[in-house]
Parts: sequence; structure tokens; C-alpha cells
Amino acid sequence: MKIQTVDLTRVYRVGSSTITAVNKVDLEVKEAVFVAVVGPSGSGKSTLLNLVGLNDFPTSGKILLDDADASLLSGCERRKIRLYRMGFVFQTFNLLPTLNALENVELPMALAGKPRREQREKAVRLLKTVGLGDRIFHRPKELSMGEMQRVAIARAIANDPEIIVADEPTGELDSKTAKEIVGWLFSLSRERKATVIVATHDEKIVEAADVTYRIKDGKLRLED
Amino acid sequence: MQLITMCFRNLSRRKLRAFLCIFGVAIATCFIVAVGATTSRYAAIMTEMNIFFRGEIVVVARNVVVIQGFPIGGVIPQSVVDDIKRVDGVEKVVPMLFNFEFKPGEISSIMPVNATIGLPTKEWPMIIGSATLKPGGRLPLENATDEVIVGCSIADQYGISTGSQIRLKGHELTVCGIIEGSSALLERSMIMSLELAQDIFNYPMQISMAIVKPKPNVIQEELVSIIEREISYVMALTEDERNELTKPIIEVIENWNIAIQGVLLFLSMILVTIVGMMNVSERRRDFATLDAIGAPLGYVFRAVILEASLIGVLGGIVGIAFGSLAALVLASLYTSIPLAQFFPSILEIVPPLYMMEIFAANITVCCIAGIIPAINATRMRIAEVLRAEY
Repeated sequence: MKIQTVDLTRVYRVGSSTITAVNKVDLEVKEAVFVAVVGPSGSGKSTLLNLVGLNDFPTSGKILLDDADASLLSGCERRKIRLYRMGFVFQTFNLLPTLNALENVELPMALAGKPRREQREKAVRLLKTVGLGDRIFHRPKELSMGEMQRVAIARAIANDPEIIVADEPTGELDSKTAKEIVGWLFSLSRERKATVIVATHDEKIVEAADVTYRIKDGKLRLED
Repeated sequence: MQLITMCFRNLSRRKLRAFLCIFGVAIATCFIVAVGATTSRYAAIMTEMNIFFRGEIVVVARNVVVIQGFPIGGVIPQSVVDDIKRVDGVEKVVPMLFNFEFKPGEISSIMPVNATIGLPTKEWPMIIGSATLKPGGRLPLENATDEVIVGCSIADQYGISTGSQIRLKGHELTVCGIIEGSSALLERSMIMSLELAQDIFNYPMQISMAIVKPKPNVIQEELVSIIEREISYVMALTEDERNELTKPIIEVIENWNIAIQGVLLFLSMILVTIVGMMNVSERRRDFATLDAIGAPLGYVFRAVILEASLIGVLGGIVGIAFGSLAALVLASLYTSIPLAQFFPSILEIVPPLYMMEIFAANITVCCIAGIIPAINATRMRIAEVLRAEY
């Protein structure tokens, strides 16, 4: 899936003042590339990813998915795109605490209406792939942070999305685990031909990325 | 992953809160069942008393309280029978004495415990109707002055069987038959000859009521007017008038019942809504995550509604179980009949259909209570929630 933004702007109203989190951003992400969006805290990285991931609505400007204007999509269509064509990895993992690792990975497949047996087999396979074959029945609180993020990655790719949106995926992890996670994300881009967009401070991710954008005060620029 | 399993786990995340909420719903349900079953039972008993004296006129003392055909207190001289017989259009008159036994000073004084009915021996079919006697029993002989038949509930309570000798206010009596359950009144009645009843209860030549059978083709309303005009101290009631007298009492009971049920169900609804709102508020991130990964709105909505209805199911089951028990305890308190005697008839006191109605009402109310939290869960702005949680 090709993603393009044109003059993308997101303004938040906080009391009587306004904050422009994303300011006239033009971004173009081709298929199967690994893109890093780098910037300090509060620079607008997460806001940009939420907009690109169709989790938020721009104040002005356009998001084009395969040249189609996303603002014309209904709520239901946006959900379907998120479910079938996108995968999300969050800094705080956002696993459902009442579900075990296996059930968390099965969830997107269940929502997509895949047969139960297929859900189970694929979830087990994915968890084995991320090295958690022996932890599948553990609930999030019984897992380490690195393990939780690996479950989150398995969940993100459960429906074979074309785009993975990862918001500071290594932000909560130690350097060794962070390196592993970067490896997983990079392999997703290469082996699955998925577009990976990562918001990060992590220089390891920047080094691995095909394209790096820097964002500051909502303004985005392509790094050479 | 079944949605229902997920909902169970979500409820169990806040065990104390879930328990208190289920407990609250259960208490409300318990009251609904106990009060509803008790009042419905007494309303049903009153309605059922209408089976007696169909198509006949009941004559009682003026201004006495009458529930269906039966006066509560108030006596008239037995000579009224001859006075009524002289009225044109009267075919037959049967005198009858009722004595309702109350337990003074106790809670049970609200309802009579036992009834004693005295009427001429050959007229017993009038009150017994199609009710059968237990095997080995018979109606009293016409010349026997000490034979009685008793209702099965009294017989069970005091271990009376056919042929038993019982003592009532100093009189030795022989039980010649036990009436099998067909009417709540007859089950708690002791039936004897009029003379014996007058003797035992010290009402010489007095009766509670007279049953008047009109001649064919006589208009009852006219006959009633004539009787009341001719005999100034009596009140004559047709079947319709008797029903009309009882109707307001039953309506009051039913209206209060509905009001109590409505208030309790409303309180349950408020409780479940508040708990649902708290649960949704605490799990904003979970709902935002579900939204972010593309869960359909209907899925999130169903999940919240299902949680609320699970509270209704669990609270309903517990409440109905305890409510049924409470209904038995109330029945026992009001009638002074031992609790154990009510256990076999629990499904009569709290009919299965009534239980199902309450259960369905509970689930419906809890589902409705889940709507506001469910709407809240589906209206989250993912980006804002996720940002706030960081």
C-alpha cells in the first residue's frame, strides 16, 4: 500500500490555546519500505502516526492510500483498513490484560472472521516465530516487557497487513531487547514485503531504516 | 476467543466490584420474587375463591367486609333463612357459618391461618364442589354430630389422617375425610355441620352468610334488591357484585407489586449502569486498542452489553433462588404453617413462569443499563485515549 500525505495538519485545542502537532506535512511512503520518523518528545511523531494509521482525523490536508482520499472513507471502512491492511505496535504494547498471549494474537483474526482453527494455528506459529512458543498461555502481566512487545508484533502481523505502524516500539525496552525488536520489524519489511513506519528516538532503528524523516514542532523533513 | 469468556474475565478483574454489583442485583431480584410471589399468591387465592357459589346470591350482614363470597366477621340470625325463603323468586337458601382463625398480635394476623366452615350436612357438595377426598375418606353421615373433614394442608401440619380423633375447643371430633388440594381455602379449612360449628364457636342460631339459589328465569339484580329491601340488616350480593368488591383489593395488590418491581428494577439498572461506566472508564485503553486494531463498533458494543447482561444473569439466578426461599419463609410467617410443609409446593408459590419472567426482566434491564456504557466505549477517540494513557 502506498501512503501519501498532502499538507497534512493536525491542530489540538487545549483550553483557549491551540497546538499544531502536525504542520502541513507532505509524506510519501512507497510499498515495502522501512520508514523511520525521528524527533524529540512532543514533536508530533505519534500524532503523525495516528493520522497515517487512520486512528485520528486531520484538521486539514489529505491522506492518500493508494491514491484514494482517506477522508472520504466512512468509519466502518477505516476500521476495515485498520483490521485487514494495517498492523499496530504501541510503545506500551496495549495487549488486552484478560487475554493470554495466544488469545491476544488470535484477536485480530477473530475480528476478521477467520476460522477458529486457522486462528489458533497461525497464532501459535507467529508466537513461535517471535520466540514465545513456550509462553503462549501466559497473560501479559506474566510476561516481560520485551515478551509483551513481541506478542504485540505477532498481533500486528496476524492479518498479514501491508503496513505496520509502530509508535516508539522500543521506548520501554532495554537495549538488548530493543535490538531484537528492531530486527523483527526490519525482517517484516523485508520478508513480508510490508511497509513499516516507525516513530522512534532509537538510533538503531534509524540506522536500519530505508528512509528517515525528522520531525520537529510538527514540521517534517526528509533526511538525506 | 469467545466474547462471553472475555466478558467473564473482564468482570473478574474487579472481583469485589463485580461481586457487589451482582449482590445488589440479587437483592433487588430477591425482593421482587419474594414480594411478588407472596402478593400474587394472595391475589390468586382471592381470585380463586370466586369458584364458590357461582350463579348464586350471597347474603351477609350489612357493611361487613366481603372477599369474594366470604364475609370477614359479622353474623346474622339464622332466622334470616326463613325470611329469605319467603321472598318471591328464591328457590333454596343454605345457611353457612365461617370462622377465620387469626393469630392475634402476630405478623400472621394479617392473613387467616385456618377457616372453619359449618353448613348443613347434606349441602356439603356446595362448598366442596368437585374437590376429592383422600382414599379411605368419606363425607360425614347425615346424623353424625362429631364428624368433620379437614383440608390436606391442616392434615399435613398436624399429622391428621382419616379416622383421627381431634380436639377442638373442648369437643372431641372424628376426621372422616381429608380434602385433597384443589383450593387454597379448602386446604386450610375444617368443614363440619352447622350445628356443630355454632356449638363449638359459640354462635347459637347465628350464621355468617346465606347462599341463595334463585328460581330459573329470575333476574338476580332484582332479587337482590328485594332481599335488601325486605330485610334491612343484610347485604345481598350477586356474583358480579362480589367480583367487583374484590377487584379493587386485587388491583391495589397488583399495582403495589408492579410499583415495587419497577422501583427495584430501576435501582438495579442504575447500579449496573454506574458499574458499567466505571468499568468502561477504567478500560479506556483496552477499548481504544480494540478500536485501533479495527474491531467493529458492534463488537465493542456487544462486549459491554454482554458484561452487563452477565451481571443480570448471575444476579438473577442468585436473587431468584433466595427470593423463592424468602417467599416460602413469608408464606410460613403469614400462615404459621411450618416452613418444611411449603417446600414441596415451592413451584406453586413461585411458579416457574414467574421465575422466568423475573429472570428475563432482569436480563433486559441489565442490557438496557449497559447501553450508556456501551455507547461511551464506542465513542472513544482512539488517538486522544492512547495519548493520554502514555
